[in-house]
Amino acid sequence: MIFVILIGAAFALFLCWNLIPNRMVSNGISFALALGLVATILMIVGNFKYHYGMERQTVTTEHAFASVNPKAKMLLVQQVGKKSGRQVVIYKKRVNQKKPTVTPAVKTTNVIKTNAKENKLIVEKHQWVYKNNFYRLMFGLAQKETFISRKNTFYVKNDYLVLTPQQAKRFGELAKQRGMQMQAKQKNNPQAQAAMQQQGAAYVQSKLQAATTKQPKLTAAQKEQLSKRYAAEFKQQVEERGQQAVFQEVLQEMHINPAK
Amino acid sequence: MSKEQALDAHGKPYNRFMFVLLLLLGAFVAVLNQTILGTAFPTLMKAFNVSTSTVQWLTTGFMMVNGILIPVSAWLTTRINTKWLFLGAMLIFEAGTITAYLAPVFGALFVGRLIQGVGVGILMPLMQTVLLSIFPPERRGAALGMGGIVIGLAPAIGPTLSGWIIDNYSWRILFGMLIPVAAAVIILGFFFIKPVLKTHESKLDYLSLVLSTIGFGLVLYGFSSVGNDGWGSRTVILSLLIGFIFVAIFIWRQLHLTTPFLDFRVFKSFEFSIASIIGSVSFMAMIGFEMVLPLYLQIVRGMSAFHSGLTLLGGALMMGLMSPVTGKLFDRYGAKRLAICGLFLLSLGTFPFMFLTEDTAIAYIVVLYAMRMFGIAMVMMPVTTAAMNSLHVDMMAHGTAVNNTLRQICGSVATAIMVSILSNVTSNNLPSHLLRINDPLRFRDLAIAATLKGYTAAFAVSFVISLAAFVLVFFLKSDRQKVTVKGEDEE
Repeated sequence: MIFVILIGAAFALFLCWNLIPNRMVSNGISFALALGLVATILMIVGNFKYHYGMERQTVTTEHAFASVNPKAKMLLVQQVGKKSGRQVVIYKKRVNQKKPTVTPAVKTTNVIKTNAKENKLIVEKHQWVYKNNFYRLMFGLAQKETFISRKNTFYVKNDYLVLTPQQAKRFGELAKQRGMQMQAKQKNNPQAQAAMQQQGAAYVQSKLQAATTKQPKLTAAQKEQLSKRYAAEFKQQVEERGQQAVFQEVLQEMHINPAK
Repeated sequence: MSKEQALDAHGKPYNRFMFVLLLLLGAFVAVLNQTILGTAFPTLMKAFNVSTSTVQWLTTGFMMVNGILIPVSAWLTTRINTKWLFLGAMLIFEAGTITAYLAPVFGALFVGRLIQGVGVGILMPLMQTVLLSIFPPERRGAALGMGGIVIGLAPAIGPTLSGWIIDNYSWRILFGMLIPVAAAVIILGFFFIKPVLKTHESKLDYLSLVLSTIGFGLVLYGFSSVGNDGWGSRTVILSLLIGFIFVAIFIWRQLHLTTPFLDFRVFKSFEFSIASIIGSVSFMAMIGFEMVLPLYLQIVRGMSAFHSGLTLLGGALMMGLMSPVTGKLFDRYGAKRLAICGLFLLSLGTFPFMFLTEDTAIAYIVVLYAMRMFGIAMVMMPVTTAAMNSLHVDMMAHGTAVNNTLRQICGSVATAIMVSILSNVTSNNLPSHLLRINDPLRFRDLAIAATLKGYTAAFAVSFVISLAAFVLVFFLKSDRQKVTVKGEDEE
């Protein structure tokens, strides 16, 4: 709309000033049009420079996030510059996301609050919007409603690790190393292996018993299937426990206190 | 010269429509070359493995040769038969274009550009002089209005066109596409271009030629070096100093020659002087701005060369569309009222650019830029015609050459001032490098703020220049002027 006014007034000025034969009329109308043009230009400057006709609006949205590492729950934080006190956060929006998301740094504040009750991301978006439909009609086609800044607050429960990318890399390397060492240790220790096997057998046995008491009519084939499943379950539990043990060891080695 | 049938210098009738069409077409492809390489520099740097400052010589050298040839054009047009001068200049241009098209090494491309510059330097003033001479005074406005399409539109579409070609084809096509057009103009020109300007035997004053070449060459070189070296550099100071001394000796010599090489007596007409000055000042407001705005669009807004060209295309088309219209209006009402309106719109359209921000809507820039060009279309050609109308036909060639030389120099001054203000203000406001390491985000914000300060300061210069022209325009006489300075033949 502001363009219609501007272009219209400029053309009208051009025509009136040059084509109206009566000088008095021509000068009078042209003077009025010139004043109108000046006002229009001032409004345009006001609009794009000083947000004339606009107001600040804050939109808050809540999002879930997932760990960047499928095995360990972690968010990565990278400082921007040496003394800025500002940072970007690397995370995933969904568990199955392939490449992790990096929060923007420009015009964005990224905060991590640990010890929270649940894991969530609160996004506060500040933007300039038009005060009402009149201003939107006037300037909307020219200056779009513009983004001012954003604040991302990550609320993180104690089960998450907050690491820098360097720490995470070292963490991964160490975990792999220690894991291999632990496996090797177990292989070289037939006693422990036997103990583990016994534990496994006991686990499957107890589970199977529980199942048969619930459903006494299980066939032999079904029992077979179940015991396989319980065995797999046990294996997974052992691996997870082993991994956790490895993680704890690595964290201690790196002098990082998990949020616990 | 009757209105029904156009006659050439020998009193023979000729086809004026075809004549003017070929003249404009030839000049259009020639003037296009002033700006066609701007967006091609990065590609050329890669193709020939040369640095930024080297590659810039393709345009700087071209413009210098161009500027050197303009004063010479006055002597050429009064000495050489129009037909052969035009065809000769087109042939020189064609030869330069083919050389550039085939260039196997950078040196060849550079030589091709210089040869082109010679052709363009003759063609542009020749076109103006011819347009002014073959139309009666009451139709000169419309005629020069058509010339305005060439002078205003061709340099303005150059960057857009070349951006598009570079994105889709190779840089050689930039020159390749001009070859058949120029060839067609030459072949058709052989039949349709007629000797329309009166010529007379006159000896070339070689000393004047040397003085003008060195003088104007050095002045243009000095101003175009400001962008890279700054005002304080020895190259700039020395070339400007020596250049201006040579120009002063040149002018002094012209005033004392019986048959001057370039006749400065055209300035005896107050109308010519004031109109030339207004024209040149408006040209300053136009050319410096056209140089800085694409930089803002590409550097601050991150646009590609092609897109920044597209952004400015609307304004260029505006100029092309309005030029013939304002020319017609000039023929009816004279230059003063048109120019007042135009310079008002130009100043008003420039004002907002002093407040440009990091995210000012591009739509605002497109429309305001078009408004500026609308204003310029009301000033440039009408004021030039007003200047020429105060001269006798025999003085046209000198008037055109003086006017264009003044304009060329003012243009280089404006570009030098705006570019140096842009870089000085920016670097003075730039945050320290330490901040870049300690707080790169704050560094970014401050750096953008500094860059914006530079641009807005440069635009402020353009605004002041527009305002100055607006004040000057009130010194123009409002009634249609009479011829006040005659050539020596009539005296």
